[in-house]
Amino acid sequence: MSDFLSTDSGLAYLAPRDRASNPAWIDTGYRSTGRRGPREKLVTVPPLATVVPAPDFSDIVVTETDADLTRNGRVNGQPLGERIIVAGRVLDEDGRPVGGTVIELWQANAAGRYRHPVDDHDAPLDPNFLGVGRCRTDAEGRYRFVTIRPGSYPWRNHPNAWRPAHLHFALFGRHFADRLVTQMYFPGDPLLGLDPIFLSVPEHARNRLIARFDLDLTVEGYALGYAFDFVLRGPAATPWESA
Amino acid sequence: MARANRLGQTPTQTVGPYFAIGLAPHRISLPFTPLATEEIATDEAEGERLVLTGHVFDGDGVPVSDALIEARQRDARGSWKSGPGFRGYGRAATDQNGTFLFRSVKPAPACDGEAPHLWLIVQARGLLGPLITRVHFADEAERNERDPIFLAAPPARRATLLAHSIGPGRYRFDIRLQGEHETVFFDL
Repeated sequence: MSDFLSTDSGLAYLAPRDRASNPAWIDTGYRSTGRRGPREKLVTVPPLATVVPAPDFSDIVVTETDADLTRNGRVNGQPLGERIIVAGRVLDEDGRPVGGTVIELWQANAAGRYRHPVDDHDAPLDPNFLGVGRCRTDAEGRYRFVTIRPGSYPWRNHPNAWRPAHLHFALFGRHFADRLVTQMYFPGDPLLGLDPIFLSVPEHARNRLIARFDLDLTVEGYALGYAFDFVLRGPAATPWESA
Repeated sequence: MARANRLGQTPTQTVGPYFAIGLAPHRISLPFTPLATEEIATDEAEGERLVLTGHVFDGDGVPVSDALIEARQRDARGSWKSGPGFRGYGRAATDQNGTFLFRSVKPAPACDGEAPHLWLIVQARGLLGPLITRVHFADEAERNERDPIFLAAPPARRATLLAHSIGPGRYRFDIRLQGEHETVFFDL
C-alpha cells in the first residue's frame, strides 16, 4: 500500500526538516509565540505522508514586471528609496537546483511602512510601491528580483523594539511539506543582534538568513546587488533517514 | 540528523502580520493578481461541492485574525493533478473572527487504505514555521480507521483531525494552536 502511494505522485520521500537549524515553537523573546506556538510534540508520520506534491503553478504566467517591484506598482513615477537587486538560486540540500518554482516576495517600503490596513506605523506610504513581487526560477534554479531596500520599523514586542530591514519570501520545493516561508536580512544591520525573530534561529544557522553584498550582481549606475540562496529539503536517504 | 556534506536548510521565519500583501493581495484590495485564492476548485470542476470552514484559536481560546491556511487535496477521482477548474491547492486568510473558508470538491482517496482528506499548512504571526495538519471527515469513520496517517495520531487526539458536517456539502474544522484539544500537527 505504501508503495502505491509513494509512486502515485512520482515523488521520492522527502528528507526531514532540520529542526536543529530552525526556531523553537515557543520563544521567550518573541512574545506572541507564547499563546500561539503548539506545546504538544509534533506527531511522527509514516514516510508516505511526505509524497504530497507541491501545488502546480506551471500554467500561471509570471512576467518580468512581476519580479520588478520598482515597476509593478507605479502610478505616477518611480518609488522612493534605494533600488537593489536580490538574486540567487533555489537548491535542495544535495545542491541540486530547483527549477520552475515560484518565489513570492513581500516587504515594507523604504520608510518602513507596509501597504496593509493593519500597519499603523506613522511613516509614509509610497503611491508607487506595492511591496509585492513574484518570480519563477529557471532550469538552474536561478531567480532575480529588483526592488527597493526596505526600511526598519518599530513593533510592539518589547520597549523600543525595531525590526531589522528584511524581505519576506515564500516558496515550495517539489513536495507540499517542503514549504519555506522565511525572511532575508541585510549584512551589517545593527538591529540583527536585538531582534527576537532573527535570534529565534539557532546561532549556527543564522547566517543562512543574511544576504551577501555582491559586486557582480551590482549593476553599474543602477543598483547594488545582494546574493541570497534558498536551500530546501532533499530526497530522503534510505526510505526515511530519521525513522 | 542531517547527512554530511549537505547544504544547510534555510531556516523558517514567521509569515508575520502583513502576509496578505504577498500571499493574499485580493484580501486587502491590492492591485496584484493572487497566485491562489480560497477556491481549491471552481464550479467547473467535477465532483461533489465542498465548503470547508472553521476558526483558528490561540492557547487562550482567542480567535486568530491573522492566520494563513493553505490547503492541498486530491480531486474527485483521487488524482493530485490540476484539471479543468481544479488546482487542488488554495489559500485562505482568517478574518476578524478568526474564520477561514475554502470552496472545493470533496476529495477522493487514492486507494482502499486511505480516507478522503485535505492537508493544511497553518501559519501566522507568532508561529515561527509552518504547522501541518490533516482534515478528515467525521462521517467517514470506517475509512478513517484504516488510514495510516490518521492512525499515526494518538487515539485521544484524533478527534482534532475531524471536520463535522454543518449542512449539505458544508463542513467545519476548527484549529487550536495550543491548549486543551490542541490540534494534531505532524512532524513533516
